[in-house]
Amino acid sequence: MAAIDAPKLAELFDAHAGRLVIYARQWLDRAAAEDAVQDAFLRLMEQRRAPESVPAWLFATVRNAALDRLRSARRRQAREEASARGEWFDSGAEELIDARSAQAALHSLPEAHREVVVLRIWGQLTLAQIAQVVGLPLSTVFDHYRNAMSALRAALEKPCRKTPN
Amino acid sequence: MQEDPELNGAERELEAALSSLRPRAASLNRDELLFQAGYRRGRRAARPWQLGCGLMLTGLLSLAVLRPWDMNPAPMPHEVVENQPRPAPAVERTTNGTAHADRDSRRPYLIGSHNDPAQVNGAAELPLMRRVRLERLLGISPQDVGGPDAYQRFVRPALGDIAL
Repeated sequence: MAAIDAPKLAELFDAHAGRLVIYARQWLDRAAAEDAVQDAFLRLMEQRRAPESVPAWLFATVRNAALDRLRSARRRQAREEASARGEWFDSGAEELIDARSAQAALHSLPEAHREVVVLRIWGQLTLAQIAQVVGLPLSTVFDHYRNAMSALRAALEKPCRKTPN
Repeated sequence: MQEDPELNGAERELEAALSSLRPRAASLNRDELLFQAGYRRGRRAARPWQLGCGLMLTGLLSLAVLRPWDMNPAPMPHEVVENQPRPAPAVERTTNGTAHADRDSRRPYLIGSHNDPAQVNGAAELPLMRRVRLERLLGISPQDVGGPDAYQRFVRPALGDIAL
């Protein structure tokens, strides 16, 4: 495949920038996440040949950049606090679920599970592509996704159970 | 393994509900990103040209400074004539048994001669070195042909024609 040209890059940016930022937000605050996403797009333009799966390549690049930045962070808690700041989703009339509740539920998941859910639902990657991005076996990715969806359902149903009569 | 993670009905509804959430728009400037990407690509493409121009410039400057064509300049023809060792003249015997005159008699003609070789008709364009070499090869001296005047009038033009 030929190298990515400017129109193609613009198209990819429009399609994936927001998803990549939300993916990077698992580890970074908003500004750092956007820097990582921008660097990923710039690196994509530097490739002599376009990757076979450009979205998977972008997510993998963002992941590597985010983890590199995390290595300099000394406290896990500080990382989690940074990623929790700010909203991940826009509020709109089309949403079928409360955005803040969903974000809180996602934060309650283990990091590995949350990563698979974000890549599957908002990254729109196949489970095979997710396995390639995170570097885990496909069976493990399956298990992570199933377990994450079960946990999310349980977490999002809790407020209903606690509602007084 | 199947692509479908085998979710139950409730989990599939949850999946659809989560999909309805739109990620917050990134504050990244798309035009600035495209500009930076194009700028970097242009800089990368220019590097081979820059390298080639740098090498050419270095080569030209080296030639201008070192001037390899001037390192061993060829001496002027008349200087070479003066410094070149003369071969030992062969001793010839005339019909009456007397030894031929010493070939060194050619030396006054070739060196310090009053006749400027460049002024001789027919030899003005002939390189001096080539003519001198021919004279030695043929073993011709002015005395052989009856004196310097005869040599100038007849032999030297002929030598010029031969050498050309």
